[in-house]
Amino acid sequence: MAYLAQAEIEVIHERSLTVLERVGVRVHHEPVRRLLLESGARPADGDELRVLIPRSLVEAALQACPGEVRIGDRRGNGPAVLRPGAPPLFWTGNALYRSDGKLRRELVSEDFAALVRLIDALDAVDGMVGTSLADYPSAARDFVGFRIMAENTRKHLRPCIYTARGAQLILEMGKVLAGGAPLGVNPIFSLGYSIVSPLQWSATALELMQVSSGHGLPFMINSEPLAGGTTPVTLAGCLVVANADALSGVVITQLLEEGRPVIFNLGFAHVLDMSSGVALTGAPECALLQGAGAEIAAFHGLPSAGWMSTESCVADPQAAYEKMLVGLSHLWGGVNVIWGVGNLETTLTISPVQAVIDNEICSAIKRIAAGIEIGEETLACELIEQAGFAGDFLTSEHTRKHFRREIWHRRLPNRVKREVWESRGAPDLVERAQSVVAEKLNGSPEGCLTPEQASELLAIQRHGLRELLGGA
Amino acid sequence: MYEQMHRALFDGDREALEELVRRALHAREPRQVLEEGLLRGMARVGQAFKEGELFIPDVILAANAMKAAFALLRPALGDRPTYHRGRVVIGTVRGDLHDIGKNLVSMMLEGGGFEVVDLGVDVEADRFVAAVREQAPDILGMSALLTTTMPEMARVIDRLEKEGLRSHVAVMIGGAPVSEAFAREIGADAFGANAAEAVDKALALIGN
Repeated sequence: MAYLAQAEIEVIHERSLTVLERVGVRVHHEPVRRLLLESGARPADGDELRVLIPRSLVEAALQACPGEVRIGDRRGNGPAVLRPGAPPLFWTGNALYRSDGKLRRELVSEDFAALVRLIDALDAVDGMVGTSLADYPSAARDFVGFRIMAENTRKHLRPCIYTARGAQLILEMGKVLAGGAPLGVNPIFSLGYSIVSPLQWSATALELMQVSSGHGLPFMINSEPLAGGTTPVTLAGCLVVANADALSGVVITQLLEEGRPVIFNLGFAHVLDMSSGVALTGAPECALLQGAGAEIAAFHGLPSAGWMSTESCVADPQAAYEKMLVGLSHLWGGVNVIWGVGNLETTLTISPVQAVIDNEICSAIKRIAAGIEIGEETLACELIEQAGFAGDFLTSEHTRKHFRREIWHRRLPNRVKREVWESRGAPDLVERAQSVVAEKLNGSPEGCLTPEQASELLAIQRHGLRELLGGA
Repeated sequence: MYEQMHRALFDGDREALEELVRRALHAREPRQVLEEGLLRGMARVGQAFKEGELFIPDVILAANAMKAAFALLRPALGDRPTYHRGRVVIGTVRGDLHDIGKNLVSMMLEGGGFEVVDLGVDVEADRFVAAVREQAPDILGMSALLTTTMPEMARVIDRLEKEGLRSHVAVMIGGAPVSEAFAREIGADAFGANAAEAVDKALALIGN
């Protein structure tokens, strides 16, 4: 293990269980609180929202969780299987704004559709996460965004939920997309929510867990601790709280739907910058906390998630190095879903240009994850003997057969000599990424829905908007 | 002696500061102890924070030490025994349980010399309005971390208008998704992008 030894994880877990028994969690939702109390949790004196969770309940819930989570899409390759030790998937991230050069602009549905089309065209990105949409009321952004995502990509969809009603409408849309197949078989979308750190479940989070239960749909349980703010500043203490946070989510999801697949996400951990007060996302400590979080998830036998993020406000070297630093560290920690492609500015903003650069980062990390294959064919000793001192392997059939898989071939990074680079106008990475964005968005979009699906989804959207806004 | 008080504030050493204030009270004018010892010391702490020499936890400890030392000084100060530059009522809006950003701003405001009345999280518009009426603050601070709860800030401002209280209080808002543009849109007077900026904006609002 890269970050924590087995015995260290055991100590952290033990302390988290004690926190759940002694401090408990505050549950801002009466039906779930009642369910917890009926299932063996204990009430706490003087605070009716507070529920103390005994370790037996945690252990039973962990037993009930499947060790594998299927993450599907509509590309026809079958679902990816997340489990401890599996290679990572890369998703985009939630955002409130879009980046436009050095400016930040409102993100409206038209921008979002273009962003989804771009992500669809980026080879190393596996999933699309919902964002805010400034041209819709906040309670409509989840289901309207979901329809836009479904229309523009066949990759896995991960809406960010604003209300339980939004989640219900998304479930209806999901059923249309699944064409009658059970949602949990090839889950083309998944859900998730964050606990309010430390140890408080909001009504929205719990309503979402509740309304989306019963379908075998993957649920990402996010602890979002802030070391030095909502948890101890010591990374170990932060992990104790984060693990307790997420374990309480495991208990609740399993009481609502025994066997529901969950992703145990300690990977949205922040540390507080003690000068600016910003909750950092791209610091080395984020890599440590999030990688350790994945190791704790693996200890529980569960898949994990984390993000690659940056505090940079613009696509620049800081954004690239912070995202590479954390993204690559996640590989060593065994993080299963790495989220945040395109994100800038502490996940507030999403940038098409950064998404193109991040695609290279993801692709490079995937190459490293693939590792070095050892076998008679790849050791190639016969060939070495044949070639002797001539050393000419370029012309061999063996090279032609293997080079595409062995050597990561990419167009975005500069790999030509100065003269050639200058003859092409001496573009830097950001300029090359800008060209890729323009190129990918050129041409008419290929719809990802059948006409019937498109009209059914629109009807659901219309229905949802009518409920919200009234009128015809 | 004042230099030692400043040092104690820099170190966040409450006990040392209290001891120094006790000793000073035998020999010096209490108003001078307050101004030269405590207030000047806090101003230096604020400056050191801006320059990156001190960090947020240092400022919070200094503010706590200042509060304790002031309690010793208060009986000797006679009329209007306050060192506060202004009063702020603060809270996280209804539907939002996020605490830390608001707490950070509260603590930094205290460090900056404000008296802070913290209403907590998930605060209904009625409670904000009642607190403005009862506490007569210079500033009302509202925080939100969720885009879904941001509109609640506009609702509180509307309620203040309706109750005829809006002109009596400056409204300052903050929180990760909140922006300057949003503040303008809903008619708030200021937006603090972070806790340190919130203090500067608050000082500007009360004319300092």
